[in-house]
Amino acid sequence: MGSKVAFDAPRWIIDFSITFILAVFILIIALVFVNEKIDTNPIEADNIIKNLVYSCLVYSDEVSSYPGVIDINKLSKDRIKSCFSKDSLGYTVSLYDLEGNLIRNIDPEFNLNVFIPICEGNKDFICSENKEFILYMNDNKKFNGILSVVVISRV
Amino acid sequence: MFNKKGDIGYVTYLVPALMLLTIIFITFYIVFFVLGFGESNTPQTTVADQYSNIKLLNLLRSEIIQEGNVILVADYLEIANENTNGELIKLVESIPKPEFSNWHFEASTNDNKFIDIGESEDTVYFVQEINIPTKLGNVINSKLFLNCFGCSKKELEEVS
Repeated sequence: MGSKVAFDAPRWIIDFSITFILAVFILIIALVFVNEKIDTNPIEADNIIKNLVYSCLVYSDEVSSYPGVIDINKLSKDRIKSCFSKDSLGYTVSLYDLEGNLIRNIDPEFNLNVFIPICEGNKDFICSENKEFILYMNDNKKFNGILSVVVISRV
Repeated sequence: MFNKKGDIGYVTYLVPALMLLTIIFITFYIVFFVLGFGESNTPQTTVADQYSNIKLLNLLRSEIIQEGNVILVADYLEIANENTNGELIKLVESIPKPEFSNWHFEASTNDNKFIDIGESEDTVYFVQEINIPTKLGNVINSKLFLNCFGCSKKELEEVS
């Protein structure tokens, strides 16, 4: 009998081994989902530009407000700081005309803003740029422009 | 130990059973984790899904010069003829877009398309539509969308 089978181990060891393998597999699956990284940087960049274009920098007169139309007089450092701020991210706001000429560049000097120039290729930070086709009012005249927001956050 | 009834069968089936289990694990790993089979996109919110009509709205509120007069694009659509205003074409082309893509703007009334700017392909994003009632009682349907084949998610997010 013993010569036919070259296997000798208590059955509980085998049962335990199978259970252990299954448990490890389930654990690995759970850890994959628990530790899944969700990159929210592009969404935050989009939220910031929507907040600026639809609310914070909106041009208004005695009659109404005009979402999508920016009042260039509101495009200041203090105003931008009060629009949206969060410890874990920084951003800059730039306004260009349709020829790509810079009209105004605002750096609200958030802590992370100093890392924006070195963000590309740096594994500690994520950066994204969001551009929106807008209208802006300057001296009661309406112009077309591009609002650009560069957002940086830690990984 | 092997004198008990069933011990030989247990050992005989153990090795193939473990091999089968391993094969199932590896197959599941490849199918679900590597290939992503059955992965649902529904709960994932992307920036590209959150676009609004603001680009088209701002385009219609933009000012252009038509025959020496400064008018809104929305007003221009009422008097547009076969020769599309060059400034309007420039405006459409200046909307931020990924490389190798273009914005398409069209206006029609009663299925008669009288303005058609930019290429129009099957792969389109950010479709925006606004209906404009005219003084004559008609409704002009204006439509703007991005035509881009092979654009990456990041490129789309930047201009959404």
